Amino acid sequence: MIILVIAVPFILGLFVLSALLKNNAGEFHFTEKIGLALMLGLGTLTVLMFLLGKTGILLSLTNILITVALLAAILAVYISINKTFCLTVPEIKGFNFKGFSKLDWLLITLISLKVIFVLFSALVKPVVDIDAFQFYSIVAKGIFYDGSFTLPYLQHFMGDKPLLPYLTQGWALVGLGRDNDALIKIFSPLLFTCWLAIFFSSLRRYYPRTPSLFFTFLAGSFPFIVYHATTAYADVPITVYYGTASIYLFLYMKEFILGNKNRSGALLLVAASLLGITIWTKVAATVLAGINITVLAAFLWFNRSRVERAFWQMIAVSGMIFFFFSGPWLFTGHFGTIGIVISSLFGSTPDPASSTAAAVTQPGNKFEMILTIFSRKLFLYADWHLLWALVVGVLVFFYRRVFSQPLIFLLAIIVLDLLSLFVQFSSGETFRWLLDGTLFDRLAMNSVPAALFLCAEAILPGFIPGSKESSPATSSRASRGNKKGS
Amino acid sequence: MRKYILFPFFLFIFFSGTTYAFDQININFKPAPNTPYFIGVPEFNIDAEEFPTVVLNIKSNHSGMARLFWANNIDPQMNEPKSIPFFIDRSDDYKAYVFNAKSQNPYWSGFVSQLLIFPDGGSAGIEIGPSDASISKFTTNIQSGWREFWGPRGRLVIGSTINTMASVVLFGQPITAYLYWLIVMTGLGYTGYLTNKWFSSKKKEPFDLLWQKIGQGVILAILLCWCFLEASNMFSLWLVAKQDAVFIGKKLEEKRILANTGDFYKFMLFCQKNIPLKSRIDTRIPPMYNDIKATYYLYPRKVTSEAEYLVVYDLKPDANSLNKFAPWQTFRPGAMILKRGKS
Repeated sequence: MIILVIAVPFILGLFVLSALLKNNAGEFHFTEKIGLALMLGLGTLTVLMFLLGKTGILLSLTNILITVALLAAILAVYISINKTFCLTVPEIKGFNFKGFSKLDWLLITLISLKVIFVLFSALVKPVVDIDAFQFYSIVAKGIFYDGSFTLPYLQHFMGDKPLLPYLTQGWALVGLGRDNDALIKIFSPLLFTCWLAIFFSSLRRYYPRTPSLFFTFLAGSFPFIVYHATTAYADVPITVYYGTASIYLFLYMKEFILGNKNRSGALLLVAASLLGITIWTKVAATVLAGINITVLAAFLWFNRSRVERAFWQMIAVSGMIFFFFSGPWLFTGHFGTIGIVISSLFGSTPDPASSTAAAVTQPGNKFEMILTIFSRKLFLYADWHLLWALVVGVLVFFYRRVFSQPLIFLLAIIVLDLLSLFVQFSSGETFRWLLDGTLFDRLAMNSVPAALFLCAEAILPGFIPGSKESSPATSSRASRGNKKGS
Repeated sequence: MRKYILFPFFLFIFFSGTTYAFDQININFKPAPNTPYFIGVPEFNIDAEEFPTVVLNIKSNHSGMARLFWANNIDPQMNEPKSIPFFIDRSDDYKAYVFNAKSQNPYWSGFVSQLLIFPDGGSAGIEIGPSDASISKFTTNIQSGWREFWGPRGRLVIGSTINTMASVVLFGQPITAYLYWLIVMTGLGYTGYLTNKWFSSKKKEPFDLLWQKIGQGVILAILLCWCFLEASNMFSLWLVAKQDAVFIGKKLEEKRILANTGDFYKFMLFCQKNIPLKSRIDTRIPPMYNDIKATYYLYPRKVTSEAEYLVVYDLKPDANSLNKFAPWQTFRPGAMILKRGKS
């Protein structure tokens, strides 16, 4: 039954992706589409289960499968009108490992070992982490036993948290047909795998295979993300969805500047879909989505002379897709969450009951303390290996590339993400969570995929002769290469 | 002539004897009765500044993790901040475990009055031979650093790593701190080399190009250090995988028993067997985390104050509860199910 648990969102995702990409599917790498299909399918399944639950329909296997089949049928009609599907038989047959060097194989082996470890460590043992017990997995059990997440008893486990972690874990139990709290975690390692596949493909568009694999190896090396990929928490879902949404938003900007209209449009649609699903992962996602939308607006403003009428249409469609995914959550009484998040950023004061917080309420002390904790956590803990040192190195030595379009907009996303943490911890009630060390690392995780991608984009053109990302010719050459194989 | 030879000889004997006498303090360990740990005997008074090194001689028929705890005049309690985790290797003979306690833990201070060794799996199969506290030497520092680097800190889940992940340490400092020094020194050296070459060349390349070359060197150094960290991390993951391997081939219920402490999950199974599926329950279980786990494991039985059953585990119910509930099913003394209504 575990096959069913994975296959249903994956197949649904293939339909959603085909509808999104239409004739631009050829612009995407095979492994990228596999990863995107599962991610989009999981997000769509979450929305469907939410709507079923809200309308009082029992979340049984039969009801979920019927709903998925209905949506897939509607999408199939749309896809058949456009005469396109995201995967083609020649593409599947043409997937091969020809021309791989020994170094490529070494990197593939190391990446595969990491994926195998994550799958093993997640699935071999039952749920052990406390937040999974008291929030996500108990509601998943509620969905399995009672067919609903709207029962009053379950509400205090959910609070105002978005439902993707609850519903995907619930779906795992419903699909399995039994209460299995080892397999309940199946989607955390799978999302981790999807993220690696997408990260590789995004780089492979523009750069040779070996450096793309090397940076994918680095992407899979972060100990903190690897650990979280073995748990039933919400931090890997938000990191993977938000990270890939940010990367696709950057790729859209890059292709826009290169003048590839069709490809940039498809990338923007994917970015909007992923950002919409991000809203379902954690409360903090509303701030993150706001940051990406703000940066996109800034990008369009700076490039307004190049924006044609057709591009505005694409922006409008992307906005609709973003709301198609995020709307069911935002417009069912959760729009106020944005206000709560913003007030937690700016409005509240530290909990007076917390003696440690009270001891450092002097603004000067507080600022110094936050800076110290931030720098220690980013640079001296094992969470991110040497990522933030690499970011600093890139800013110092490759400043010309980083501070020019389009990379500066990816940098803006990262800086605003970190700045939002700074503001949140310095003026909000979350200050005490910085002191007790329970929150910062998990929130900083959201910026990590974009930060590593920024480094790759800044470094690789300098190391690889003739691989200038600003050259449209190189881009189209890379694209042709992608279509040939992996 | 003889006195010129004998005087330095006696002087040498005197001083080396004195040095020997104050170079180390012998410590013996014995298993504490009915407890899973070893305690140092007799009680002593080690000047932590003068004797920062502890050498333990351990023989064990299995490998595993252990902790060295100490009490001192500043804090006479044995507690986690005043401890050093380490791995015990399986060995047929006594093996020396060297710790520069001062560099591994800043709380090695004042006068240490007691040492305690707590092996994770209990004291069975482990013997601790004559050990000592001694002054630091170059060789013992190297041995201590080696053991510390490959030790459990930053490699195994100690407590929880869900919120942060500590770095592997060397002489009490995160390994990344040393790597930053290495990167900075490499960067400076490479900058010096390239700048010198640039100044001495007649036809100077643009400064931007020089800057980019320096950058490439520094980035390369960072990436190499990253690869080193990842190699070290893969060893840690191997240790985690070995820990997780105990779950292989077990049924789900057996896995849950393993994942919980003591007989807690067996008690949960007992409750699941006896309490009807859709009933309302209340719990008296010590926080945390078993109280939270009970709510999860016993679902769809719902936890409420208006309950039909009271689940009690190692926590005495208050008088009010005892007025409302009567003992119903007993798992063991201290772990039972009470039912509403006086018997």
